[in-house]
Order: sequence, then structure tokens, then C-alpha cells
Amino acid sequence: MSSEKLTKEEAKTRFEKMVSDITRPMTHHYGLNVWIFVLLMILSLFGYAYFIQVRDGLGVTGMHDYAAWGMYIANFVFFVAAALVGMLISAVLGLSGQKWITPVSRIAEMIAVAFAMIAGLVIVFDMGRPDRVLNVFIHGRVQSPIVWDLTVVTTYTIISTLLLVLPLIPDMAIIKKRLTNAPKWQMMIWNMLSLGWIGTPEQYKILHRSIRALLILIVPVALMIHTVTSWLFAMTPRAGWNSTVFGPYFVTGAFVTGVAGVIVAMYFFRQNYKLKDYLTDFHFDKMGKLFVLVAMVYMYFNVNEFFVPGYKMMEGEDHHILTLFVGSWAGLFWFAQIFGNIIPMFLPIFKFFRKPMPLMIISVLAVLGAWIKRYIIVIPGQLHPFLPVQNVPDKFHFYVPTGPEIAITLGTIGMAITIITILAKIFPVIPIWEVAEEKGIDKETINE
Amino acid sequence: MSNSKGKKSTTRRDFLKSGLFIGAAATTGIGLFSSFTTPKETKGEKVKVMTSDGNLVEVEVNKLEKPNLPKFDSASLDLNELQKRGREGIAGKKWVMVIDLSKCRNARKCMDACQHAHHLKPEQHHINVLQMQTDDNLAPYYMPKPCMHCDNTPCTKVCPVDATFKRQDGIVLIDNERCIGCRFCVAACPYSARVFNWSETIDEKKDNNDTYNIELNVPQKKGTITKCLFSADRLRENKLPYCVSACPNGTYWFGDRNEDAVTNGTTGETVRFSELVEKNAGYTLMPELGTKPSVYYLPAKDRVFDFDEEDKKRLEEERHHEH
Amino acid sequence: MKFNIFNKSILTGFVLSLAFSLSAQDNWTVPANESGKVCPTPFSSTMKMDGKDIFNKNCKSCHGDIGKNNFVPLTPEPGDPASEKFSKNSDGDLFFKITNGKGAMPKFKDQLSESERWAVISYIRSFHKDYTPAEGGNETALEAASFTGKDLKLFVNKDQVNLEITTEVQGNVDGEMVPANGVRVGFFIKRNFGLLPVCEPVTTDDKGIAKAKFPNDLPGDSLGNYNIIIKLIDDDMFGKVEYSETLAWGKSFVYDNPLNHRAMWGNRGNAPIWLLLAYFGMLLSAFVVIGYVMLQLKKLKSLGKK
Repeated sequence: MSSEKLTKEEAKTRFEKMVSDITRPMTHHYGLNVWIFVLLMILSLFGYAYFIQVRDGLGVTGMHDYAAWGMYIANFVFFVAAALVGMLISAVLGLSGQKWITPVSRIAEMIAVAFAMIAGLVIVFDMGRPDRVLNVFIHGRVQSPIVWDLTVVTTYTIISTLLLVLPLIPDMAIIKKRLTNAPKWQMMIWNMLSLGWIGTPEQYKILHRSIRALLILIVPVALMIHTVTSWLFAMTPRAGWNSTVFGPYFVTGAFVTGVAGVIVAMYFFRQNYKLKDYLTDFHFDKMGKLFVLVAMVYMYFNVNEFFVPGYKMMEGEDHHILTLFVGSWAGLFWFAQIFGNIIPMFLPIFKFFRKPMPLMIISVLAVLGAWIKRYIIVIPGQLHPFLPVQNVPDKFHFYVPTGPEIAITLGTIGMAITIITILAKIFPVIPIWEVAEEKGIDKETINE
Repeated sequence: MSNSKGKKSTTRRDFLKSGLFIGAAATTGIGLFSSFTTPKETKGEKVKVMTSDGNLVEVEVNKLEKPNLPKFDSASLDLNELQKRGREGIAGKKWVMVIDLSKCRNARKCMDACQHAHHLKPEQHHINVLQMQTDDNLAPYYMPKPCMHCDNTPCTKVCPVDATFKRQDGIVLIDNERCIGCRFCVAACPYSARVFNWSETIDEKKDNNDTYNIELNVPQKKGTITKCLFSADRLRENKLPYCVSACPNGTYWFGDRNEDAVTNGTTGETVRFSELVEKNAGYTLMPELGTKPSVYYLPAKDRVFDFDEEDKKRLEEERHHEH
Repeated sequence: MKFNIFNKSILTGFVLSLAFSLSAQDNWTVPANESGKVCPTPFSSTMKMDGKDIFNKNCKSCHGDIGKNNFVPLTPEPGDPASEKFSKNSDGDLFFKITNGKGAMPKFKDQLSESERWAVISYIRSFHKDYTPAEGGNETALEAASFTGKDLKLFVNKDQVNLEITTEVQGNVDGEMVPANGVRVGFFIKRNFGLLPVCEPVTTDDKGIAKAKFPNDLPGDSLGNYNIIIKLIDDDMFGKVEYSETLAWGKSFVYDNPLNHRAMWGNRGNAPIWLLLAYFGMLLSAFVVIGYVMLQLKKLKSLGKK
């Protein structure tokens, strides 16, 4: 941004201030104890609920033979969607030369890594026989979308982790020289991850080259992670799932979820980590515009997804669409559509709504809407199969999640947030060296 | 199948070894790779065979009809043998069922026999007699619905671990020793034919010590799938399926399509399958889905029994409630 | 075990039928004009035999074997058609009841033609000792089998060209083997769960001969072999007389194991090649890039040590 020539001294002062600004939250724990206590509560509640589920079987959930997939799978789809954001922010915008994205990219990568890591676990918690999870490796069939999904989620997790770690290398070198009072284990991690960085031109060349290779690789992998997840549904002949636009529909939906998620995280770090100088109104303004764009693309697929079958009203589809639009699912459906798509598409067009606070509120509602959207994609379609539901208990006509089920779902979200918390504690949430370079500070100062 | 079974231990070792230095995603690949063997299409010796209409055809020796397998007493077999023969199926057969809807009067003897044989709970149906009415102006009828044992199976396609699979005689079976309980097959089945053991099974304590018979899917296991198996255990003994022989009304015909013959479970009468479905305008359920079922229906024409009045009222309510 | 249950059901059957014959007999009233109906043709032995087959296919599942009281214990009980309760019905009553059904008793109006329903009645009547043909002159239904000899034997002559089998049935009459006239011969092909009749049972002519043509379009084994079985239908009268042979008259059926083909639905060994290539190709390319990045990092580290 400011690219005026700085004197050596000016550069040095500015850089040191920047480092201390960004690393202060890593050493000063405002309210961290309370936060950790809350997370531990959630995790222990999860532990208890999961113990009950393993002991008594999936019967403790609200699932039954006519809603064989419930909240867990909806949550899984949400996790995959949230994980996708790393790719959008760092790869698509980064590769297209959008410089403003630099301070936001690490937050995006942290979210991506956390959610991608837990996504695989969410599936395990949904399994009737989690003790047999290794069967997927021992007996895996390449024809099954689940095998593709596990493969691509794992691959994506590895690539996102690398994309988080690589830009950390120079920062690690910077930090280990300055935060010498840190605990030993933290120093060890920093030292290890700095990979002997001394900032030679050759090292820069290698680093840029590697990051670029990963940025290019993550684009198709990220598109696949969500396309394949959509295929878990689209590959079945069920009304409501049997759709050809499910791949792009899910991907564009994930963009909306992801942007909203990053905005929420940005706001949180800006407030709690006192990073107003780095996550500025300008960044929120940009994110707001991006929000409008992705919501518009999503709306395009939303219209396709419902208008085409709604026009034909074929057997099965008719029922599905009526229950969503005007039937028993209408409340959740319209909440998800209005807060998850329509509002993010229109409100941030106005400058006022691109300010941090209003944008954050819109985003929180959009994340909630996105979660509910996954829920109504997964469940209603199963409750109305082609053949009548008969000779079964009345409760098989509905799906109502139970306590343990909700506790386990909350637990998985808690796990993802725990990972983000840990990452944000031991690593700077703003890429110091990249931001410094953009502020016109020379490489020599950075690597001193 | 025997091939990949033999490789089981190697695969596991590969998995652990490679997992140490490459990472989980790569392992998926390597673990899978080691067992993607080509089908065992032994291009064997060929012989010339004269068909009845005087044509000379060349046939591979190993495709000639094999003598019937010696019969085992299931109780004396160990798990491995049961699994092996259960996964292979009976060579040369292609089982089909024909359900004559004009005969069904909702006696539910089929459902009882089935639930009893497979140790199922009252709400678990391998076969379910449905009350069907697709339109206000069309007459309601009873429709027993087992698994369709499709030839283009949506369920086996999506199974990640070959725990549900199609065997050579066309039966789609379940291996609850392998099933991971992901329920993808339940989601994929358009006929709602699959049920899951959500909690402790009905005879879990009693059955616990029995050897698992894949052709009967007993003992049932918590956290795994179960579904209609065309009574594969009975077929091995040359007996008609449980439901077929339990029907008092002559609704079911069952047989081998390769022989072009089906036998009525009630009367014992045997007729040509092709003639039966041709003369009675037989059809399959939801042919537009392309699943190619092995269960055929004969329309509910000239019904022997009237549809129950109370069922009729209830069905009407159900239909109007929905819209 | 089975035998016991059988006995019990017979006993209960007796007791119940005694009780019911007094009380439930008149529950099912038949309109007077229907009650007086009689068969338009006289009952004959052929008709009776047809009736027996129809009975076994359609009625036996509930009513059991006539005269053996082994009907299914339903409520109201179906009863044994040989019982007194049945014999008290007029021909018209029986016809009406078979035609229209009631409760658990199906209506056979659309299932059996009128002549078929009358055939069943003629068969039932053959068990009623006191039955006298109604006004209108039915022949006696108590007519015995037309051939009275013993130790019947089948002689089979095959026509390989026309796939036709001529059977001569002979029986012992007063120590001499003579052609058996009026005996029903069934021609079957053995199938997995039963015998497939190639035609309706054929009644032997006065030379004791019955003929049947076998199909050439029925699948046999890979060589077109199928097992034929020829036997006398009324084994309750003549004992079990059967002939069987394997003939290569069928259509050759070459079994093509579906598991030998690659398919999306197949087990993992049968995955489509293109899918394997796509899956492993993509996985490999991703990990080649990841491997490349790892090597670069190693290089980067070694640069730092210098």
C-alpha cells in the first residue's frame, strides 16, 4: 500500500512495532482461561455423549431407517464447506494478484486446516461401527464415493497444512529471534518450522516457487473435495438429491459459507487480538464485496436447483419441493435461503453494511443459514422415499435429533474451534513477512 | 473375491508401513492398489458344442455347467467357509421372484416368517407388505416388497468396503462382519429395502455364540445393515425362500431365470417364467431408474380378495394429509 | 415334531368342525335362485380329475387334502370339503360360495371360469357318499377310475426329430398286462424347485398310449440337457409310477458369470479400468506435487545451514 522509500531506521522501527503488535496476543492471554474452560466443557460433554453412542449404538440418535443420515452428515457437509475457504482466499485471489488478501490469508488457512481435519472425524462419529474404520483402507472400493471423499479430504488436509506451514517459515525465524521468553516446547516448534530460514535470495525463490505450486494444486483439489461430497447425495436415485448441478451448487454454497466464516474470524481476531491496524475497514470492505459476488453465483445455482425440478414437478420431486417451499420444512428452508443467500447478496452492496460490525452480524447469520441449508439438503429428501413408509412406528415419519446427537455435533464444532485457538496461540495470525514486504520494508530488515 | 481375501494381511502391512512415511491419503491409494487385481477371467480351453437347433458353438470348458456343489451342514462350517461360499454364490443360477398382486390379501405370513428366520425386530422388514394407491381414481392394492436384488445395484455401487455385494447368482448379500455402518446403501436404495441395526439386536445375547452365517445374516449385529437375502441359506438347500413358502395365498413364484422356470410357494406348481410374466403383463418397480430388478410383479388385476375397508380409509387419509 | 402338530390340528379340527357344523352352518345364506343352480353338463370323471388339479392349486392351501381334515386352523375355520357340513350344501350353494367368497374365503369369480368352478364341485362331490345328482341328471360323481388294473408300468418311446415322447401304459388285469385306458399321464421337465409340465396331463387312449411334445426352447445346461420326468398323475390310485431321463432336447444355456465383468456395482477387483486410472492418476499427480514441495523444503533447509 504505502510504498514510499523508508530509511533503514524507519523500516526497522516500523517492523519491530509490527512484530510486537502481531505477536502480543501470543504471549498475553486475555480471557484465554475462560475460553479454554468453555471449550473443555463442550469437549467433555461430547466425550460423554459419544461414550453413550458407542455403548448403545446409533439408536440413541434421532436417526431411523427412513432418515438414515441425520445431523452428523449435514454437519460433515458444513465442515467440508467451511474447509473450502482456504482455497478461495489464498489460491484464487492470491494467484490472481489481489494484494489486499495477504493479511487475511493465514486466518483462512487456519480455518481450512481445522475444519478439514475434523471433517474426517465427523464421518467416523457417524459410523455404526467406528471400530472398523480401518476396513476402508483394507477393503476400500474405488467405486464408492466415500472412498473418493476420504481420499480427497485427506489430500486437501495435507495440502492446506502445507499451505499454512510454508508461509510460516520466515515468520518462525522472525519470532524465534524475538520471543525468547516463550516456553521451551513452543521454541522448539518455532525452531523446527523455521527450517533454518536466513532469507537468502535462493531461499526466497524456493519458498515462492513451492507456495505457488501448492496454490495451483489446491484449486482442483478443493473443487473436488466439495464436488465429491455432493456426489454422496447426487450419486443416489433419490428425489431431491438426484441432481446434476449438485457439484457446483455445493461448491458455490461453500464459497458463501467460507467467506462468512472468515469475516467472523477476522472480526474476532481484530477485536480480541487488537489488530485494527492490520485487519482494517478496507479489508472488511473488500470482503463484503467478495461476499456479494459469491452470494450471487450461489443464487444462480440455487435457482437452477429448485426452478428446474419445480417447473416439471415430477413424481417425488414435487413432494420434495412443496414440503420445502410451503410445507413442514418451509421455516428452516426460508431461514437458510434468506440469511444464507439473499441477505449476503443484497445488503453488503451498501457501504454501511460492509463496515466490520454489520458485516460480521450478516456473516454470523449466513454461517447459521449455511449450516441449516446442509441440514435441509440431507434430511427431508430421505423422509419421502418413492415407496410409502408403512408398518413402522410413527416416529419414522419424522426426524428429531436427540440430546447426545446435538452434543456430539457441538463437540465437533468445539474441536475445530479448539484447533483454531491452538494454532492462533502458537502462530501469528497475520503473515508478518508478507505484510511487511507490502508495507515497503526491505528483506534485509525482515530477516535480521 | 478369494484373491483379495488372501491379500488381506499384506494389505494391512502395506498400510502400516507406508502410513509411517507418506501419510494417510497416500495410504488410501497404496492400500487400495495392492488389491485391484483384474477379474479372474481364465481364458480356458474351449470345446465345440452342438445346440439343440443344430448350431455349433464354441464354449469355454470352465463355463460348462458344473455339477451341484456338495451340500454342507451349515452348523458344521466355520466362519471362513461360510463367508467364502456365501460370497461366491451358487454357480449357474440367476434367482428371480414373481409376485402376483392379484393374490395378495395382506395375510403377512411372509413378513412373520422372514422376521422370525432373520431375528428381526417388529419394525424391521426385509419384506414389507405395502398398501399402494397411486391416484385417487385407482384402486388400492397390497404389494409385498422385498429387496429387488437389482442387476444394476445402487447399493453395492456405493458401499466403500464390499460389505454389500452381488454374487454370481444375482443375490445382493450383506457381510455384517465387515460392514462399517456408514448407511450409504440405505441412502442409495430407491426401494427402501434396507434396514439398520440401530441398537442392540433382538436376540443379541442369545445368538452371540453362533457362527455368523452370511447367507442368513444371523446373528444380527448392532451397527450394521440387514436386508432381504432371497433366503440364500434356503436356496443352498434347494428350498424356496422363507416368505415364498409361508404365503397361504399363492402370491409368490420363485425360481431360476436361467432355467426359465418359477415355482409357486403355496401350490408347488411350476411354470415357465417367461410365459408367466408375458401372459400376465409382468412388470418391475420403477424401471425408469434403470436398476434392473430381479423381482417381477403381476398386476393386481381380477383380485381374489377385496382391499380392506379400514385400510382404504387410512390410506386415503395418509394421501390427503401429505398434500 | 411335525407329525404331532398335524395330529393336534386334526383333533382340533374334528372337535371344532363338530361344534361348527351345528352352529355356523347357516351363517352363509345363499339366495334361493342361486341355490337351485345346477351344472349345465353332467359330472364326468375327466371333469372330476380337472377339478382335483384346480382344487390342489387354488383351495388346498386352506382346505387341505379332501377327506384328511388337515385344513388350516383359521377362524372361522375353512373346513374339510368332504365333511357333512359341505355335503349339506346344494350344488348351487357351493357354486355361489366359490364364486363370491366371503371373509377369508377368496372370490374366484375372476380367477376360475364357470366350468372350472363346476369341475371343483364335481371333485368335492366325489367325496360325498350320500350325494345324489340334482334334478337335471348329472351322471354319478362316484365313478371310479376308468382303469382298474394294478402294477401299472410305463413304456417310453422317443422321437428325437420331433422331440415327441409316446408313452404306453400297461397294467395288470387278472394276471395279464393289458393297455391301461383312461389313465392320466403327466410329462414334466425337472426344474430347481419343482416339475414343469410340458402340457396338460394326457389321458391314455384305449391302446394305453399318451403322447406329448417337448419344447426345444427351454434352457437346459450348456449342452442343452434337461431332465424329463413322465409319471402317472393319480398316484393315490396307482402308486408312484415314474420314468426319468436326461435328454439333450433343450436350448444350450451357456452361463456367463456376471462377476467376470468389470462394473461400477461390482466388487473392488472388478472396478472399471477408466475409474482406476482416473482415481490413481489424480492421486498420483497430487502427491507428485506434494513430493516436489517436500524436496524443495529439504533444499531450503540445507541452504540455511551453509
